[in-house]
Amino acid sequence: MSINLENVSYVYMPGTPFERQALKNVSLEIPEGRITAIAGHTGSGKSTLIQQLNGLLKPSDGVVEVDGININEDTVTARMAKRLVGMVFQYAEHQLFEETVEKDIAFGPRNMGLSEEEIQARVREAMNFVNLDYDTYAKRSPFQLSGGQMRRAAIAGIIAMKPKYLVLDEPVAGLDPRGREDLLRKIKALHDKQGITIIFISHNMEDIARLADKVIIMKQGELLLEGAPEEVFEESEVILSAGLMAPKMSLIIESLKTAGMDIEGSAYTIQKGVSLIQDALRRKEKCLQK
Amino acid sequence: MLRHLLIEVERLDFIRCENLTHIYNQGMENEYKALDNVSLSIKEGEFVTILGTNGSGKSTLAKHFNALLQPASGKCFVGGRDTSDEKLLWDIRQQIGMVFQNPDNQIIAAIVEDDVAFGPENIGMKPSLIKEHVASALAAVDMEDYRSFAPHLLSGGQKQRIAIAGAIAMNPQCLVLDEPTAMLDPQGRLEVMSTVKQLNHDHSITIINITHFMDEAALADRVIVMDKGKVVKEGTPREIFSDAISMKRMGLDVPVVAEVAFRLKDRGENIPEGIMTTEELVNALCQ
Repeated sequence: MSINLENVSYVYMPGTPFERQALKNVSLEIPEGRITAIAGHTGSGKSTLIQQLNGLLKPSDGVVEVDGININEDTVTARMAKRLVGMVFQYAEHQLFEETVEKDIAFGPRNMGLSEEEIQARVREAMNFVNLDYDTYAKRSPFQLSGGQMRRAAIAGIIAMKPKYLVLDEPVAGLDPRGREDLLRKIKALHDKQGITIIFISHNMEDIARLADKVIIMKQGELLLEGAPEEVFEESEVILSAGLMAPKMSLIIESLKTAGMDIEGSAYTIQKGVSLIQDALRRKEKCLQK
Repeated sequence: MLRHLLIEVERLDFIRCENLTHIYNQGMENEYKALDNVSLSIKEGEFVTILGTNGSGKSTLAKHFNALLQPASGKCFVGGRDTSDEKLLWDIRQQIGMVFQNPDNQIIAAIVEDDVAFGPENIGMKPSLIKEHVASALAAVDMEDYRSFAPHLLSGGQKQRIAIAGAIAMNPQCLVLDEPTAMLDPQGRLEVMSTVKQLNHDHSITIINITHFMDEAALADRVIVMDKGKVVKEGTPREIFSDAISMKRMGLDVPVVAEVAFRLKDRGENIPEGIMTTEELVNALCQ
């Protein structure tokens, strides 16, 4: 199972002087059970792309399928298929609105028509999952939480609906390093422990390198690169042309190679990079000893 | 003689905080001490970065720099002026330009030029002078070609440069930037930081940049680290980032190159202290 886009195009405000084509003929597959990252410059079409995934925007042309079902048909099965895809927008905390954290998280499940016990259970589970202690925070106003906590409460509201696919638009933007780290771990755990397929937008290639097993790079509404991180990050020139930067670690490794260091292979995470450098240093020592 | 010396000290320190304490909701149940006895000084023309986790007091501190907040105790001086003296508020605010995180919340006019002119108009500058200031502010951020554009058609980085132009059109001596690049893509971040660097270098504007990006902090002359309302570390980026362990303990980080150097050293490789750039790492490893 997967989400599939076939020749999807999207035009904003067609037939007006402001007409702008935001997506051009995009075909791609987002496989179930993986973590897929989408990167691109501002205006590259990333956000337009993810809004196609649960029918918030309908393609001007082309087909979007979730688990083999065309979600833009007017049928019950299409509506059910859309519900499989949960969406966490940028600065998700701006969408908190209820009096208490508990009510805010319960909003989605209640709309789904679940029983009160089921809603309660899901709220507790979701709060527990994003590290918000139920007894401490359930009755508080969401607006009294810190920035990182508010973001997590907003994400809990989506998790409580138990989506099969979870789409996050720049989930860690604006958080401090510890907040970023905590939330990235939570997202990884959603995938590893609950088996949720993750799709996330990020500008940060370090985060993408650590989390994703598939990377999609957009440029001016078109799909520029698609593949496993190690394949995509090899193309540092192409990435640069899209207004992005390859992970700092892979750039460091490239510079060291250019300067004549005998490094085998490439690395885009710090851990791997440090090992490669150490291997090269060992070889150099051996050479000098001979 | 002594008097002369005192004046000299004041000229050099553009901002000086003495035992500055700030308490939100004072006397209420949810009272919260955001700044706890902070003493620091920022020199004229200096480029300072303030680091700290969310809730460490960075933004509260910044709001004292232009007298948006008043000390619960202690003092804050800007250009020698006491921020708790109400008569001086407008003088102080004219010396400090502020730029915030979200470019869309800071732009108000329908045309770039009008937006930049908003501040000078508000302080009653002569129209001929406004024109001049707007033109030179747009030139300083390298956005002259966009003077008649509609701001919503610009990229995030361009919008932030317009926000910066709006601040410097008032001719401030100092710019305080509170996470100006948090919402930008990598190219936008580079644009904004190179503009800021240039304003500091070419126009001698004192820069105070609050950020969560460690590679941006590396551009500064000096880094101030805040934790739980206190200043816990101060030094050059090199000094601050050579201690990766304590930075991480505080929930902060170090630039990737510094991290790589730190880990190599930690594993017993012979690497000099304080490596900050790829070039330095290359030199250290490929002699």
